[in-house]
Amino acid sequence: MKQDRAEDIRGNPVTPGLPMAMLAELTHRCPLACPYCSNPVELSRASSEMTADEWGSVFRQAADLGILQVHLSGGEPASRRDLTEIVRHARDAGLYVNLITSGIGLTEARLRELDHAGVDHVQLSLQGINAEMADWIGGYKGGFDRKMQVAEWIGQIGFPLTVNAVVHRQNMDRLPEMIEMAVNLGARRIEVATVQFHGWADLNRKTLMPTMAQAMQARAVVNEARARLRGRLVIDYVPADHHAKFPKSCMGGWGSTGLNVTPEGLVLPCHAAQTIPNLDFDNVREVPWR
Amino acid sequence: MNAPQQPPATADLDDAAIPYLPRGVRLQDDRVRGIRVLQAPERAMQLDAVGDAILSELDGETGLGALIDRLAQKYDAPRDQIAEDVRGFLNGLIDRRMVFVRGRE
Repeated sequence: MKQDRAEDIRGNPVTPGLPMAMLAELTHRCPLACPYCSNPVELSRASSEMTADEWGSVFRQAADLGILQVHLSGGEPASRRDLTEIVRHARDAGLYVNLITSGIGLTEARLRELDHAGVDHVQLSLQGINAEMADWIGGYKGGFDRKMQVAEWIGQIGFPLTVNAVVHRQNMDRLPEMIEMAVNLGARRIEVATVQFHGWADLNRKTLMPTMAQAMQARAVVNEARARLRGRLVIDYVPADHHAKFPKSCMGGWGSTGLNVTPEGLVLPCHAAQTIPNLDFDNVREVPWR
Repeated sequence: MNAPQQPPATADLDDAAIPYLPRGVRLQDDRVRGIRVLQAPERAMQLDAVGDAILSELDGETGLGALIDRLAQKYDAPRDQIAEDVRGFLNGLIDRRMVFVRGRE
């Protein structure tokens, strides 16, 4: 591709958009061990994680680049003891702060600190509709009960809540109950995301890949619930890959709406970018954005 | 699959209703793109001048009727037309949970 003019695969000129959102993988540490984790199979070590101040610098550069929202994720972001400081940096940079968490590691006191630091919105993951399923998928006993407790605190503090339901062959048939649970937890929004088959999920795809019939049923459930719950619950749906004629465009076009920054500062166009051979990515510690 | 049947968007937003931006929804400048945006959970929506004008009036106290009066006066436009625009715009955002109505949370 010529440097002075971006082109698509057919040679048509393309105007690259400014990315609007950034996924900040604060750490790859996590108490859960979900078999579809979006983190790479080679996890980053705790000792290579960027400091809160380094993240602060990245957030300011991101805001200057036109990023509006930061999704603080992991791993489990609550595994970072300095999470509150990181949130404060993100708000100081003027970003909308979305905390993506399993809830494990959050106490009521910590949530109140995060509230004062300026978290705008909390996204709580749900591995299943009961302890049996959720703790099995997450590989963490007691995780489900803890999560329900955290959801209650989130409601008491008043954070807007999104329930993040990752669905796959093992739990997709319980989607109606997951949606019901989101309503009961007081969520404004549920993200029903079918597992994306990269990295860990690809290793476990035999157990996780939904059947075509499950995918069709999930679509019907979503459509029915969207109509019934209009104005109460927003339902975002990420359908299954592999059941369509053509693959989806990755991330709505690499780097055009969002980017990923790994715990050690690698800047990626998507979670799975590093798995593509022969591509090199810059580290924001060495190559600043301005 | 067919899209679900939707009831009319302007169903039950009467003049006494008090619409407001809930926690987690912010009206702000996008200084890089030079536009106004509505920030919400996992959404950043570009606002045109009309949308910005409507949302800027939401103070959490004023009822819809008074709000429409105010906009009609400010922009010297027929009240009916303003009312239709405001109701349509706000109902869309209410459906997407980006605007709440007091007492209906």
